[in-house]
Amino acid sequence: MKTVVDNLRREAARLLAGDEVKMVIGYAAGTDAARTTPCFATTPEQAALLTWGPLCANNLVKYLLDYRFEDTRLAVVVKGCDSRAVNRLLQDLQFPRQRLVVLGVPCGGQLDRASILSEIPPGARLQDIEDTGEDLVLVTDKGRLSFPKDRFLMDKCYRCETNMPVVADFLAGEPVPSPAREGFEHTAEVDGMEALDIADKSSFWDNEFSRCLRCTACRNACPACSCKECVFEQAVPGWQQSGIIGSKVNSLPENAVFHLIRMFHVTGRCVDCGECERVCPVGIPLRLLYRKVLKDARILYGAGTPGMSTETVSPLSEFRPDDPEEFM
Amino acid sequence: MLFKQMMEYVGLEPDRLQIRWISGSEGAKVAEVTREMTERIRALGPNTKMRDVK
Ligand code: SF4
Ligand code: SF4
Repeated sequence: MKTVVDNLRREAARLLAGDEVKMVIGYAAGTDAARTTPCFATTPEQAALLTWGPLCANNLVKYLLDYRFEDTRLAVVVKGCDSRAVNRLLQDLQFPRQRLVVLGVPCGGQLDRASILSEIPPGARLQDIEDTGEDLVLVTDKGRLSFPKDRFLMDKCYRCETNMPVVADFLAGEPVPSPAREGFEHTAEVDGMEALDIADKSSFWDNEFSRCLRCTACRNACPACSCKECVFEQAVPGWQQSGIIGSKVNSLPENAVFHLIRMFHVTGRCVDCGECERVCPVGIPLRLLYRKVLKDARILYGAGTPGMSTETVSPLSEFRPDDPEEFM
Repeated sequence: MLFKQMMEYVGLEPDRLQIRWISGSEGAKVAEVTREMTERIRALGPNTKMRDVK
């Protein structure tokens, strides 16, 4: 882990010093030991702030979109799942390859922050997280807690397809074993959901969608959502938006429509990075929606997980005479 | 087709979605398809799930 961080800092400093890139987007230590924060380093000195570890859940690829209309060259740090998002943006011509340096990091799985914090006894403060190679040690002011590394990973990591980046100009470390586990089928929960009868599905999602704040955090974190102006902001012209509450009315049907439309819009784009679900402030199981799309696209169109390469075409961007067709 | 399966997944009757490709010269077909669709929707009853509470 240490060498990966050193390699990363050295490469970032080199790129910045030689003016090869204007900015390196990576991770830096966060406000507490169980958090990292996105870091935008623009000088070789700032490159020393960069870090990497099992608490770097953010998919930084989304930030590229903020710079897509400029002409500067950027570098971005990516894990395996994030790298699929790079491929998707390149494929959609959202960011030119010549302006991008991809710094890949080997990922052994990302920790689920909430589960770690729930391990810490009340009153104790987390001071550091140590990686002993085999175990992770939570260092608190009331003592040390040790647990196996793969105990508190994020759900997506147990189903990881590519823990090494699928696209990278620079790799900060040797490949590490994938955190994927036996018995974590990609579609298990989706299958379970499909098996319910329609009334139960309806009440399950009503319950989830009724909590939605329509804060659009899910959309804002999503690398598949690359539109400059989102359809959900077009319902009312921009200049009227603040004045008309109706445009963002939070009724259950409106929320359901929001999620159905988002579901359809990420078809063939969603790389299953899980960012939407991680950032949702009310904990709606959003991946359960988008994994259904992944599953159906696989069954109907033989489409693999988007972003595995820049060669495969998204199922909704291509017509094949043998596409399944129900409405003709 | 994909969208229909999504509707079903979140608990909407998938039969509410119908798509037909009809050319401008097929007036009779428009009438026929519309009639058929109306029947189908009538059988399903009103879409209470998506009704706005205002
Ligand atoms: S992040 Fe959660 S609460 Fe916010 S719009 Fe998305 S689903 Fe709704
Ligand atoms: S929909 Fe969610 S999982 Fe899919 S690409 Fe967007 S943020 Fe990632």
